[in-house]
Order: sequence, then C-alpha cells, then structure tokens
Amino acid sequence: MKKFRRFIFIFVLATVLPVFGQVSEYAVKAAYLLNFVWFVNWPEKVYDDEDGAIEIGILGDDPFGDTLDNMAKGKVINGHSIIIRRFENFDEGQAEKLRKCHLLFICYSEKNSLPGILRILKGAPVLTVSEIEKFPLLGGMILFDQEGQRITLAINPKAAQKAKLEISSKLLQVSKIFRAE
Amino acid sequence: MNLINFKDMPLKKKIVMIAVISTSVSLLVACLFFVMYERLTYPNIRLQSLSTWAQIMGNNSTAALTFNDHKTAEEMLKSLKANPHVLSACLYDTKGKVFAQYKRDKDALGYFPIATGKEEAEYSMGSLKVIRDIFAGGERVGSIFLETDTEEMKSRLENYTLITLLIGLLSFLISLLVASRLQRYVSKPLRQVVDRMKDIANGEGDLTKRLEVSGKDEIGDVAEAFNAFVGKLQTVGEMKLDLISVVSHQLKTPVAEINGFIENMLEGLTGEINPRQKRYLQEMRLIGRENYRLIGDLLNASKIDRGVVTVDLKPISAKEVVTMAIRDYEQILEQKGLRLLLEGMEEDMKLYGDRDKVVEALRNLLNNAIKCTDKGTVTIRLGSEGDKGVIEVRDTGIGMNGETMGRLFTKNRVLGKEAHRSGAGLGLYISKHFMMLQKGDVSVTSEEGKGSCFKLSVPKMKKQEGAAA
Repeated sequence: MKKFRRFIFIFVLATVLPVFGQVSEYAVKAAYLLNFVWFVNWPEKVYDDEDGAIEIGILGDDPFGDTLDNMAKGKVINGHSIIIRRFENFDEGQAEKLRKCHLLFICYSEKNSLPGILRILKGAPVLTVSEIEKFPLLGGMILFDQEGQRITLAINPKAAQKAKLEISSKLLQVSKIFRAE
Repeated sequence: MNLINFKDMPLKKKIVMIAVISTSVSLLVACLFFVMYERLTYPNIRLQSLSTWAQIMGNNSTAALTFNDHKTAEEMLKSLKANPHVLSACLYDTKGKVFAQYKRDKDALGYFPIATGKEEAEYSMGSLKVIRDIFAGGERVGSIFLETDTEEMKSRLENYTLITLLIGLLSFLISLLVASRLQRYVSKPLRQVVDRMKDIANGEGDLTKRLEVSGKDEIGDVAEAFNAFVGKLQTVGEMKLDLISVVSHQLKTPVAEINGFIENMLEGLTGEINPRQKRYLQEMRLIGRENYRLIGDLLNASKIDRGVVTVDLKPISAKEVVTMAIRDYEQILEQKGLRLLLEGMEEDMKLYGDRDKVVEALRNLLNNAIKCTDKGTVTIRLGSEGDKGVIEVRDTGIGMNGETMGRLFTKNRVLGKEAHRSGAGLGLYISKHFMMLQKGDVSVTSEEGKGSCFKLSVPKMKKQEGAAA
C-alpha cells in the first residue's frame, strides 16, 4: 500500500514537473540572478554606505515581468537589500547610471548594442549577465545557457577579474568556463 | 589458583597473591572504565567530526544546489570515495528532494532518509548518520546526509581491548615480581620467629641466643616478646639447675654418711647383729647406694647442663678401669644370680682419658645391664677399634626396640618397659657427655628380648703422651 502511494506520488510529480519547468524558465533565471549576489564579491567602495542596497539593472525589453520584483522584495543578502532598476533601450546617455549598477542584465533586445554597452562599462565593477549567444566570448561575464531542460551557466572569469569582481570558485565549479577574451 | 587452600597457604604466597590480585583487580576496573568511557564518548566524537565534515561538504555544494547543477554535486560526492568508511551520502534541495547521491557499494539498497528539515545525528545499526542543513548567506539552500560505517570504532575498540589486556598482563607480571621481592620483608622475619619458636618448643634451641628484631612492626613486637619469653625461660632453667645442684649437693653428704653407718653395722662394728637385722641392713645398703648414685647423677647432669664439667686427661689402664667399676657390683650380681664374664683382660691396654669419668660411665652401663637382666650373664670385653680402645658391656636381658634406642642418650627419656627398673634415667645421658668430653663415645646395639650391647670407646694412648706421663 505504501509502495503504491509512493508510485502515485512519483507519477503525479513526473507529469506536473515539466509543465512547471516550462512556465518558470524566467522565474529560475530571476532566482539565479539574485543568487549570483551570494557568489560574487564587489569591491567595498561600490556601496554608498555599509548597509547600502545592491542595485540590479535590467537593460532593454524585460523578460521577467514582476517575478524578479516579487523575489527581491524584502530580501536581504549579506546585509544589503535589493533594488531593481530598469533601463530603456541603450543609449550613451545612460552610461553614468549603468556604471553605478552592481549587476546588469542585458536583455536579448540589446544584442546589437552589446559592444557599445560593454565599452562604456569598461573598468566599472559591474557584473554583466545576459542571454545573448557567445556573451562571454564577446567580453561579457555570465551567460544563461540551456542544456536540454536545464539552464546552465557560462562564465568568463577574466572579464570579471578586470572589473575587480571576485567570483566564488563554487560558482565557477558549476559553470562552463571561457578562458578566451 | 586454589582458593580453598588459601588458609593453608604460606604467608609469603598469601602476600604475593593479595598484592597481585588487588593490583590486577584495580587495574582491570580502571581499564574497564576507560573502555566504557571510550564506548560512550567515542561515537559522539565521531558524530561531531562527521557533522563538521558534512558542513564542509555542504558548504562546498552551495553553488551546485543554488544553480541546480546535479552533475557537479554528484562529482563532489564522488570524492568521498577517498574515504572507504563512508557508506553513503546525499544532498537534498530545499524541498527535501534528493538532489545528488553517492553509495560506496553500487548495489547497496540504502534508502536515504527523507530530509525533515531538522538537523540530526545518530549512532545505530552499526553506522553513524548525520543530516545537516546547508546555508548560503543565511538562507537554507538544502541539506546534506552522510553515513559512515563503524569499522574505525570497532578497530579502535579492539586496539583498546588489546592494549588493556597487554597492560593487564604486564602489570600482573610486574606486580608478581615486585610482590615476591617485597613479601620477604614480612615473611622472612616471621619465618625466623616461627623457626625459633619450634626449636625452643622441641627443646633444641639455645636459650642464650636472642632473635634479631628486624623492625618496630608487629613482627618486631612478636620477636621482642618472644625474646623476653626465652629470657624468662632461660632464667627459670638456670634456677632449676641451681636448685638441683644445691639440693643434690646438700643430700649427697648425709646419704654417704648413712651408707657409711650401714656399712659399719654390717661389718659388726656395732656389735653382733642377728640374721634378720643383717638382711634388713643389706636391703638398706642397696637402697642407700642407689640413692647415692641418683644424687650423683643429678649433680652430674646439672653440671653438664651448666657446662661446668671438666675432664682431667691422663694415661689410664683399661684393666684398672674395669676393676674399679665392677668392685661395687659383685655383691648385687651374686644376689641376682647373674654371672659376670670378663674378656680381653690379658692385654694391658693403655687409654688416654679421664679415669673417674670412664669408670663412672662404665658403672652406669653395668648398672643398667644388671637392672635389665634377670638371668644369664653380663659380659665385659676389652678390645680395640682403630685408634680407640673399646669396653663392651653385653647382657642377656630384655633388650629394646629401635625407637627406644633413638632417644636413649637424651635427658628427657620417657621410659617404657624398663621404667620400673630405672632411677632418674640420667645415667646414659651423663655417660654420653662424659665420653664426648674426652673424644670418646657410647653406642648401643640391641635386640628386643635378647639383650643389649653398650660400647664405650676411649682414645688409645699415643706414644708421646705415654712418654709425657
């Protein structure tokens, strides 16, 4: 009887999970985005003060909806609260504000402006994350990739290093590493 | 060890046994406590270290859990292969679902416990298990489960037992060695005291000697008390000897005087006596002489005991000695109807000794021979054996058995068959001493019912001694 119950449980789980997965692709990505904050160390001076908020910028057409906002609401990571900022399609005038973000998610819509974005961010301690193919090869830091159903990560540690960001070895362990520039 | 005989065991064995048993027991108890303590605490120590380990592993798998990377998590768990004691390990996500797992034995069934979101550590069924929560920056990202076997604990316990046994054996041997050395301080002085007591009780010990008091303990007290006791005994003994000496000395002269008067009356110096008076006087003479001998014996024995007997060594004639000895006995022999035979009298053998004492010894032998013989002969034979002259007294009397012969020359002779025949029974004791003092001896051979043969031996005169005389 017990075994039968377990079988039913597994059966239900097996049918529901893929659906659940499909629906929540951006929910997972949003969670990952927030989790990056655990595994990355910013230089001390980037916070306005000791309890200063961590600013997450979304550049371009936001795929998250309000998922990210709901997740970030009330969340305190290492003593820092989270602020989400959204930016319209890229133009040079945003440079100052973009450089002030801790983490910048570059949406697929900005694929063509990528070189310009990366250029104005050069030297700023901003962790760049994107879905744009070959993002790490182009000078970005973290790419959301896909392996079948699973969302994977690809990282360019050198780019992060140049921006004076420390990425935890644990994060590197679970990611694909790009050594090339 | 036979405990039933513990009571009869010599003191030194008892001491050794007590020491060894108490050492072993206390050591065993101590070791037992250690092993028990180990058994009680070691699982906890192991659980603690396992828990620390789980925390480290969990900490390393935060990224894998956070970014849903099963492969990395599994690879990390696989690194547990390095430790063959780890039976299984498993990571859970926040919902308690198995995220990654590791089993040492591929085929092992091993259900992973359902993570309850509670930290647990337990020691049961031959394995140690812990569940620890994994946190990343204050937020729970999953749990880790680790299970190890208890082989390490088992082998540790085995080692402990082995070491305990070794220590036990070693300390048993050492305590045996130490105790058997130390027991001497107790048993040896006691042994001395006991030996000495036995000697005194058997009348063999020298009363003038004192025990060495080894210390101020109880045994020392016993030795001291015993010394005091022996001292008292010595004083009493001396008093006894003095008394005997004084009394016999005082008695000797009057008895000699009475004997003299009896002799005079028998000789007719007091006028005519009728046959009845004569018979009575003869009887009195016999009793008087016997008394005189008895008193003389007592005096001699007390002299021997006090060690004041001296010998006056001179060349003497064996024939003369025999003549002097038999002089007083001719009458008695005649009365009892015994025949006295003298042999070897032709040769005039010269001896070197104390004449009076040889005569006294021979008289004693003769006296005994006559007393113990009711019919037949008493033979005195002169002869020589090597450098000794021998005077033999052989009778055809009652004889004696070997047991009697054994204690014949001692003072405390309890007389058996011949009790009614003898006086104080000191004669042979005195004779023996007298002969020993002049390097001679008295010996005896006898057959019960057929008679005895006593042999006096005295050194023969050597030429230069003869010249000196």
